[in-house]
Amino acid sequence: MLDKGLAAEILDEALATGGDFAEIFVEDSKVQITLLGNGKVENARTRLTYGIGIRVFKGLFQTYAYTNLMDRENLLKTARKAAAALDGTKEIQCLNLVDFEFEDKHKIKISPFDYKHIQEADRYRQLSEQMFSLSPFCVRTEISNMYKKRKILIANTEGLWAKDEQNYMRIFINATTEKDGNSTNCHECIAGLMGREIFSQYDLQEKAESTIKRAVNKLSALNCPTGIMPVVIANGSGGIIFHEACGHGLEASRVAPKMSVFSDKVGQKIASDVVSAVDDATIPNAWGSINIDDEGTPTERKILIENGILKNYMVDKFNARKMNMRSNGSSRREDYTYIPTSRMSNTMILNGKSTPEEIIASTKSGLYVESIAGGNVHPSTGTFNFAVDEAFLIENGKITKQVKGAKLLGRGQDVLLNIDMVGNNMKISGGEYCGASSGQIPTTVGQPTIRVQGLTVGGQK
Amino acid sequence: MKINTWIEKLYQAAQNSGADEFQIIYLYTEERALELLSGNINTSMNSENQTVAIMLKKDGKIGCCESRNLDEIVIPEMIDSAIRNANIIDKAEENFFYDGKDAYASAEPYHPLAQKMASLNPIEFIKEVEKEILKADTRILPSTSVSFYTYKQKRIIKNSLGVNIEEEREKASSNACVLAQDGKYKENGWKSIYFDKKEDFNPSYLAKKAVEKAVSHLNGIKPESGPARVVFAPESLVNILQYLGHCLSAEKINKKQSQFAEKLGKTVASSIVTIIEDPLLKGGYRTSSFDNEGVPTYKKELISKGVLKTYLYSLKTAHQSGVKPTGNDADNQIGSNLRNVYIEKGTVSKEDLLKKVEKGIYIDGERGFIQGIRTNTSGDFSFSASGFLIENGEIGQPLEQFTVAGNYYQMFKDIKLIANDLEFQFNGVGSPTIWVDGLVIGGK
Repeated sequence: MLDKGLAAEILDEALATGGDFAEIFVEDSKVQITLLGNGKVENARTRLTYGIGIRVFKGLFQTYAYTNLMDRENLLKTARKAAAALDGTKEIQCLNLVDFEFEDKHKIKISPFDYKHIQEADRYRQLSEQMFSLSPFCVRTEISNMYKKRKILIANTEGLWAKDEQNYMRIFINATTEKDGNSTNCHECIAGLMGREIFSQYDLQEKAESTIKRAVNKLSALNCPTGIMPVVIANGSGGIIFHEACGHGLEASRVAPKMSVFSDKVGQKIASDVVSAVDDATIPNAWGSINIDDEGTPTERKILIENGILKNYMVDKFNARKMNMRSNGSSRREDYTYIPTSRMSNTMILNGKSTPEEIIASTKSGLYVESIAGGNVHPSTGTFNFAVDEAFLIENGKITKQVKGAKLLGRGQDVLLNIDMVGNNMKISGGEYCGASSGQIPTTVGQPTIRVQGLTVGGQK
Repeated sequence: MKINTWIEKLYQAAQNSGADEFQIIYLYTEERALELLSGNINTSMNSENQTVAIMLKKDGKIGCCESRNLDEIVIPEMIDSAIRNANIIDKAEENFFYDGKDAYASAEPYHPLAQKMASLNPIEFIKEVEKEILKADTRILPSTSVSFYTYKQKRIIKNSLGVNIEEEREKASSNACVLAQDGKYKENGWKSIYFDKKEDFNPSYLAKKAVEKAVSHLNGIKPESGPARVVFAPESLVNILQYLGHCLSAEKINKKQSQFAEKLGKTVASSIVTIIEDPLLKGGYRTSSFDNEGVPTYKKELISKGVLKTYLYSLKTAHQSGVKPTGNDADNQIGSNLRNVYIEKGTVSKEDLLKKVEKGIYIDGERGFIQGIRTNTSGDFSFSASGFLIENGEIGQPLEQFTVAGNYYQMFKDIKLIANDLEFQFNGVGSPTIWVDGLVIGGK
């Protein structure tokens, strides 16, 4: 990657018009994706990236320029482009760039790129065969394997010189089932900030079996009722409700310009007493974890809500200036073509005291949501919606018939106050990507089983 | 090293790689952005970027390596990766590059009005938009964002069979996002303009549209749950129509992931429905004379008076089905295989359509349609909507967000009336206002 001498020159050039801070972000990454359909490799592709983003701050204004023509002349030209949005004269000098040392909390054991992916394909060919053998209703399997090695370098005029290497691995399994002209699909995903040791941490076979079982069960799901009702959301992937309904509204990019329903609410009660939530980028090898963020700040475990009281936000350097806070290592971006900003990592509601059985038994009638397919939110109004993947009716305190095709919606600020029971079975789930202004980034969600009163359920009948 | 020299080197390396055929796709982009946030210019961006993809064909299999790393030393790595990727593919289906034997039609895509753009000062424009927003209504909050964006793109497809085509596109847009409050809840409103119409250069036009959207939705009530007559505004149908690209792609048909399988020549929609794809539409937002594979595009009816006329074929799927490719190769995004797709307009005005509906629900915004419909292949959907009641044949009270559920394939059959107000959105999807029965509303 870049050497310190050239980096200092670029930073110096970026400061020429009066910026009070300048930063460079260099990314050198490689991605390998293999896709199998019905056990046959249908597509394999490699993506290489090497580019730079140069950013300058002046007070509450930021300017950004990126390029991937990495010769000295063009890098200095790109720094001048970033500087050109300001029209002052040089005010500060770049400090000496000093190596930033930190502990690697996410060491990998077996680098995916040291392995011949042709052999990996054999593993998946077998897996697909097994999936077909599990049910006569399975009509198509899809398996994808992704490795990514992302080397980043962040240098800034405060003298920071930080490097990290992030290794990702993600396996996605999808099964389509069909019976009597009716067809559906289910997926499972395992993912981590880890290497090929992922195969010893997760039981792929078990995931494939559960995918088939769920896709077969879903075939006989009935139409979901419509209306306002109590909704019990299972542990794990159900945590997307917090991610959407609340998490995005706690990102400084929304909070600072007062475009979140949670702006200016630290210290206030925003959730019911049973709700405590964290965003923790330090969980070893979790898909949403990182050592340092894309501005070079070490990541943290942030308590967002404690017993219903708002404690903290996800904060990046630029918005920290507006909020008079410090960055807590939450600044992320998909790649060098995006301006980094505050984002989530591994975001979860913490354990409460109820058992999942108690929660269900105390619900006379309602909806039990087993898994959620994805959702979105307007943080400025709090309105969110998400698509239910698998759900069941709760009748007289018991889980009964499976239902399909439902949407859940509400306003985040109301939902947090309406969570009236929190289970003791917290689970982190997922290897999904969260999309927002700074691109698609790996995040996970998590929660114990929870119950929310008064959600709008939109079903087919 | 100049990018042209670099591509030439890659071309030579591909020639010497032992591949049977090869193709290079080059994409150059330039983007500039300005963002004004709650009274201050917050962000300015000015960037350029290039992506080169090499595709090598060996034994009927194509391996690909895409690179945004333009260091000379990666050329051998790109070739190696592409060959390795080709080798790992199981030869179940033959892949092709286009041989360029058909002529390309000329295409005039959308571009911003050049003369007017030249005299536009972006900073002044967005400041003026914000000023107009803040004075438009007392219920507007100071948290406003207005952005200005320009984009240029150059795309080259060059292959060993003789295809060597290039295309340039540009875009200019401004987006305003406003927040309004009256009572318990806030509502937001936004509008984008693309500087291809005279009114787009008037800051108060953009301001007014964004403000109207936010203010008109304040103090919404929850609609009754249950079946209702539903009217879709053109802008609410973007994702819903784009999903047709997914359902009609021969790839999805072959993989049993679409209910349009075995429906060619059969009735799949109400007899008043004609859906057209016109990649050569003059000034169209997605107009292009060739698709991602370099295959010429042409205008065609997808559904004609309710009857399904064609699937969408890439080179590979066309070969599998023994037909000509239709110029509809897809990248990964849903609907990206369609260029300027629209429902043909009807004869009644929007006002007359609403009168005929008399009582129902008017939808002006959809969210979460794709996320929901993806959870099955049956076409069942439930999305989150914004809108209004239709009372006495007119748009009435605003609604708090609600759900709309139904089945995708049934919905086309249940289209009752189509207005004459065809309008294109920026992703090249066009629709008039339409009335659909058989959908279920989820409210209180």
